[in-house]
Amino acid sequence: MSKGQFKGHYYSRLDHAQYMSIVPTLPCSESAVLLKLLVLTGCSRQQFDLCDGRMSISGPPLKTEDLAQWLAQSTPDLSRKRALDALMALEKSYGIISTSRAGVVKLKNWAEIQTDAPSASAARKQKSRLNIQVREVRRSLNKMLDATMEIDEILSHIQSVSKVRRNTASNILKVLVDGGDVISKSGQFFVCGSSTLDKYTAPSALSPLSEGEGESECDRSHSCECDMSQSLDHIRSEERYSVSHDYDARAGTRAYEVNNPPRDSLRSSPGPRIDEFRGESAEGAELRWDSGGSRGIDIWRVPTDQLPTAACKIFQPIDFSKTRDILSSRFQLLCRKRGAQKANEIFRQTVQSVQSEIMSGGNLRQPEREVCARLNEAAGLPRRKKKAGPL
Amino acid sequence: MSEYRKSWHVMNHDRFLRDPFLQALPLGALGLLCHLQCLVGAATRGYETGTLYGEDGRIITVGELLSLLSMDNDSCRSEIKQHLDFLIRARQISCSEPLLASNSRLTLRFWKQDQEAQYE
Repeated sequence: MSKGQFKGHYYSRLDHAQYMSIVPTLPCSESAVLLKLLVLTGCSRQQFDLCDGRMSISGPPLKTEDLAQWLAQSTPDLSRKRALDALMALEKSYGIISTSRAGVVKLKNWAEIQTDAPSASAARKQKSRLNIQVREVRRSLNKMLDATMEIDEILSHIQSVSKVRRNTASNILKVLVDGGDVISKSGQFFVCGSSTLDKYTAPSALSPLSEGEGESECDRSHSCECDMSQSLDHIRSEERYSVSHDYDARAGTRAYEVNNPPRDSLRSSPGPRIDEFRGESAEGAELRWDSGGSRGIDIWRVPTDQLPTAACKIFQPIDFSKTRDILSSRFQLLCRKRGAQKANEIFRQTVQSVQSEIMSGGNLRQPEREVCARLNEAAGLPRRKKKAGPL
Repeated sequence: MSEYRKSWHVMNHDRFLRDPFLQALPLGALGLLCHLQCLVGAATRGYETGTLYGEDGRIITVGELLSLLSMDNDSCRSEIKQHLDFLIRARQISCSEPLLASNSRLTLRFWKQDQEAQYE
């Protein structure tokens, strides 16, 4: 904090929309006190880093008594008692300030208006509205599979379908790119029509956690914020998505591996990246079977929606359908927790690493259980205790 | 409010705290200043310049403001006029006509400067 050296800190925002409904009804001493509180709160942020609406004149946040004292001293015809009464009225009758159990006074909603931070409910509404728009656009894109579009074309298409402004269209496009419905490569956008996003935006019976369960409001608003805060250059960045899953800290390694698979890699030659991400070979086979590796399945060439099935085909569990359902639910959970694209990569990497362990002689009696445990860990859930049964 | 997007305006709290004229203002004048700030910020016009406009988009003259705030109570009216006079002398507002003539219009002096300063 620059103690006010940064010019922006000399200014604060006054929420006239909020106060206009209250101020005309306030007696003059209350409205004068309110103005003083607004000024002091801004200065407290500037001087003492109190960014949440608390006030200070020397460092520690002011309690009611001290604040009344300061108000009385700094206002010509305001007594301490009158200041206390005004503070009481602002809290009890008008709900403008709040007092903590320790007696520290705080201006309500001050911090939110300074930062434009949406409330949790507003963030949820925004996310839900965006999800609806994304579904509309996805439906329209399903009629345009394999189309290639420039960024202006696809944004215009999104705008025309969902009747939104350019910025919202960009946000929708980001979600589509993140969900793998659209792939960005060399400034062009390929329509894939993946249904991954539907899976994690719509509640699922298979999912161990229903929408919002086990996830705090803070998490939800944070994830929404993350969705919304990803900038357009994330989409425009040709490099990041030229290799479909090289978007994290391991991007360099992954990009290198794509062209130079490691010696123990189960993947065959890399092939075209777009086809690889979609899991469709040039011949259009449903699953690619390579010549090497466990059971001949190259997990990196499996379409996203067939990943659980492919994992089951690789590991041959006792109860195929139940294991597939469990892996499917873990994948959806991972999608919700980490985003579709990241989940996609984690799933493939997990299957591949377990495959590698089997091939290198590792004693994994129930590899599908190991996959599930690792997916749980990746989703932030604790490992489950081993028990008899398919998983 | 719905005709423009912002629900807030910028205030220079540092100036408010350090301005000796403001520190000397009586309680009533200070309260009136808070009220005027909210009126300007919530209006559909004048929020860029600081001039006082009504919800209907018409300029609020001094006479209209006095009627509005005093609810046509004569004693209140003279008190509010006195507060306005304090604010003018404390250089917080400017009046288009001398002696707070009824048909004059009011402008918050530092409003425009504050709104622009944020984006410098």
